[in-house]
Amino acid sequence: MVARFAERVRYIGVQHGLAGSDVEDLVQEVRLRLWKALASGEKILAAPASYIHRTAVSAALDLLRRRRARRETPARLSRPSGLAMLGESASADRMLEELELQEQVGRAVDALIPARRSVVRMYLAGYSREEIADLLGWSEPKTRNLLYRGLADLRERLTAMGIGPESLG
Amino acid sequence: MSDERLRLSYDRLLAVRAAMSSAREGCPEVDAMLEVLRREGTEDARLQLLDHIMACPFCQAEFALLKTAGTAQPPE
Repeated sequence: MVARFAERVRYIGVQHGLAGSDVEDLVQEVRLRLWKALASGEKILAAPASYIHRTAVSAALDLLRRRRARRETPARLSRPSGLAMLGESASADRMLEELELQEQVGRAVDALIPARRSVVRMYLAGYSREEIADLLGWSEPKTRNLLYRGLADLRERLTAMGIGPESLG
Repeated sequence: MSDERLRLSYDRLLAVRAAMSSAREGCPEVDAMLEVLRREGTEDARLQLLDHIMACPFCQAEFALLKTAGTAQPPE
């Protein structure tokens, strides 16, 4: 049961774009806690699924608290920078153009009205409309409406900055 | 500009911000992030926290980890 739960945590971690080390740390911590608390394989097997679930959430919280205390950077952020991701062959002009575009997107998002801005940020960060609705406790139509208006507003602001639909492909 | 291109630019922007600074001033406590996931507190407060979390490369990764642990459905 614990092994299957670990697989599930790993699978969702990958889906959320987490680095493997983050998820492995969490899985390891859950295993340790279950062994400390229940002391035998039989007891772990008999433990309710909800208990293991709560153990995982609690382990994740402690993992993050320890990181904060040590001022560690989440492993996911060892990703290449925006410039490096353009590839070695990118020209200096292209890199500058890309950096400028990123800054303009950032400024345009910052200028959105608060409710739309949060939703747009979540969407740009990779959350689906369903996930956004679930996190905020909103209906699907309300979420869709705020996201649609937010993205339209964002594009309008970018166009005013001279960034059209064709910008950088 | 397509949604995909906007997402790519935003992701790169956060990567650059992370590379430029590792300061965590103004970041919410881990427990505050958990409250957002549990939909506790007022909607305005949650929106304000999410606004920071989604704009901060460090908080975004931590929030994703918490969400992962919180949404993993235990097997039968």
